[in-house]
Amino acid sequence: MTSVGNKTFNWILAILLIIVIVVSSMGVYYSSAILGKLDDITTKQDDLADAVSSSNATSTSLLESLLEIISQLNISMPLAVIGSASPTSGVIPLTVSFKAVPIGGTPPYSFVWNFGDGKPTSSERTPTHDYTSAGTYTATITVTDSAAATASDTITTKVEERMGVITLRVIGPWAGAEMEAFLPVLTEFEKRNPGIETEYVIYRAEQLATLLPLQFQAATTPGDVIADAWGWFVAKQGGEGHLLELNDLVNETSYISGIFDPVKVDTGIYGAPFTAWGKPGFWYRKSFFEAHELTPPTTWDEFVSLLETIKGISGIKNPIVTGDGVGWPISDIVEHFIITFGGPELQHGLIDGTVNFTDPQVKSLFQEKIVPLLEAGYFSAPTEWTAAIETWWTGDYALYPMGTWLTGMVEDPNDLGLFALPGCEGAVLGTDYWIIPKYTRHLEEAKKLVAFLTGVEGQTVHVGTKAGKFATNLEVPLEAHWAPMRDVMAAMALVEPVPDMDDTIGGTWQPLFWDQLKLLWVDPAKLDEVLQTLQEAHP
Amino acid sequence: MKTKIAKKISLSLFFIPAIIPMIIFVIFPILQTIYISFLSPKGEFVGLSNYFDVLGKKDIVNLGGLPRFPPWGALIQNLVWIAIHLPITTFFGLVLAIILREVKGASIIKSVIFLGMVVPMIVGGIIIRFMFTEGVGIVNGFFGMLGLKGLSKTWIAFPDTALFALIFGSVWLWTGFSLILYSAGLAAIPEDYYEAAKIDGASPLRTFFRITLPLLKPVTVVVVAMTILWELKIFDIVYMATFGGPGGASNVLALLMYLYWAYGLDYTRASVVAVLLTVLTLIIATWLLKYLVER
Repeated sequence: MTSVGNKTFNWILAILLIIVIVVSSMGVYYSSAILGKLDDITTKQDDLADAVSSSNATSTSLLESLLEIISQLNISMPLAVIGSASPTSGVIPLTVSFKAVPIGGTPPYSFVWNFGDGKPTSSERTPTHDYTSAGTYTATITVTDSAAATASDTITTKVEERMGVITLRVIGPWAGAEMEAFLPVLTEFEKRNPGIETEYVIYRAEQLATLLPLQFQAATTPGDVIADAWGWFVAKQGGEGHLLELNDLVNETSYISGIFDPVKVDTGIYGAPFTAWGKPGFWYRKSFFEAHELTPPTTWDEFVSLLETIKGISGIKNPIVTGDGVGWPISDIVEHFIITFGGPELQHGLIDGTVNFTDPQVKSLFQEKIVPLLEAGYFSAPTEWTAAIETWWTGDYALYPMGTWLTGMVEDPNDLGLFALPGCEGAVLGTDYWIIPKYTRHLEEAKKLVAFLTGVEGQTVHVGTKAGKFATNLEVPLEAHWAPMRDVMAAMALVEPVPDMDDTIGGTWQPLFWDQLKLLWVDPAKLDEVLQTLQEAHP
Repeated sequence: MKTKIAKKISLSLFFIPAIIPMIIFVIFPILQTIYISFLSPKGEFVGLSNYFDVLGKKDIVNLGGLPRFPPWGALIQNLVWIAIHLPITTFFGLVLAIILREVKGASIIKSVIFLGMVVPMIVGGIIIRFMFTEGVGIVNGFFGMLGLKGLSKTWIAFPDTALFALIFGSVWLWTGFSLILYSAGLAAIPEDYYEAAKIDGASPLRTFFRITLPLLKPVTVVVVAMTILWELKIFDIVYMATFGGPGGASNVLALLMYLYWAYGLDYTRASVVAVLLTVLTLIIATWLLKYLVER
């Protein structure tokens, strides 16, 4: 029994030994095989990690990476192929990138892509294809391995007709030469934003003041993006909740502080500054001054003497032409006198009401400086300001007090000279504010446009034209400005920027100010009445 | 009795399509404007204080300006429009209608004169602006040729001439209206009356005063009433040519209302002026309608 028992035991041991050897051998074999692939797997894991960390990583790319890893493990599997495409929808012409990932089978593989639009097939693994007409296309990838096994997959791509692009209605005050200078800004925006077109419409601030409150009451708007120079009006509309907050579009620190700040109500920004203008003093033709041996004055007496000399020149109607529109050009002249002889602080005082128009200082300024010039006939009667440019340029007048936009409205800006009243230490500066009514149907596109217009790109384009404007955005370099404006900016940089009086006070006082000054211009004897009226109506 | 009531009700039903839009688009806004005119900007009821406030302003009535040149206040300046513009356009329309009755090709001349009525008034304002501008305008050129330097200046820039530039400058814009109405009125007078007057030996002047003028009375009433209404609501010409200036010397009620509304965003004051304008217009319109109904 014992020998039988021993024999049986030995057989069992032998079989177990064989099993251990076979299993161990298989274990060693497969372990080495797996270890051999570990590097590849690690590499693929790195790729995968990269794909995940990449901002462009999508579920498709992750899946593809996983499939790649699996396919390279050489695990014996029947041949299969996974096809992918990006993008899978869009408008014509649509360029689609395809990719095939084969799994299993016996490498190497060959590929045939049929794109489903009747165009030639491709044998690349990752081809690109252009769909040029609308439709839903089924692309088929067929992969064949070295054992002649085949597998296929399909991808559907939807291609649509190009629908009408979004058209933004842009409202601004610029007409004629000023409009010609502004339109390139919109053109540049359209170039950078192929899906957005713009339509420019002219409305001046005084017209917007009429139009917008009513439209806003009806929860509609005449424009998607609007430029308005009246900060007080923008603040009022913003405060009443009709305008979009622009806080996420505008960086307050990007603008010249204290004069070109965005329009705010509490913490909300409702008006973002565009390019700016200045009202620096008196423009003249250099050629005219040279021909008559005239020089810019350095003292008040020299200024008066210059006017008297000019008055005596043959063909001159008046030494200074007075522009007129609804009245604002005269207010600019008067403000220049106020800043010169009362300093920027007097302008501030009159704006905020701490100084009265009937104050002796103000009255003496008018009485001793402005009225004598009017009585002496140095100023022309108010004449339409754009028509005045031509008569001034052709020699009916010698001096034209006007804003910097004049530089873009004359035949030869290089012939333009400029001087301020001697002793002037400030200059009125102003800007247009871009606003977005809450009622626009194209909110995102409007925000894009405002970001462009108020940012470096838009302002750079505008100041590079003959607009006669300068950038409010501090990041726009001086060199980006139109050459004639650089000299003007250099002159204006020496003086203190001061806000425009009537634009800042606004309301019914604004047209009253214009109107009363027109009266003063033709009837200087009414000075007391004019100042009294301005003071009584001051808000 | 029942049938009568039913008939009245059925007849009244025919008014509904006309009355509903009138209520929505005319009656309601008028009532709303009247209501707003009694409110403060904050929406509180303030009685007549808005009226005292507005009527107390020199913008409306400036008697201190009289008898000198304007500004006299928008209300008085509106009345000056009526006092000067109404007789001139009515007279010109009548005279031209009588003269052109006998002229060959009169319809062409009438069409040319009527062009003033076709021109948008805002364009009329621009034309007036240039008509009276020194160095450009035909009026200034004319007076310059005569050596009248005082009248060759830019009329719209000076307070003593701005209002009159607008009034005289707009005569051509409105004469076409009275011309056409008088022409129609003249055509309606039977020729027999004139033949009878001729046989009786009546002079042309007597014929005019005894036949033509009395028979044109209905037309004259319409011309006068419509012209006054036009002059009361005058806005576009003033807005475009002078903006009411200088110093308010050419301002009118409609423009003042606009300035309160558009620049001041002051709806209560604007409503007060609107109500004043409506009352003045209603007086004229009521007189006209009463006359027409009584005829």
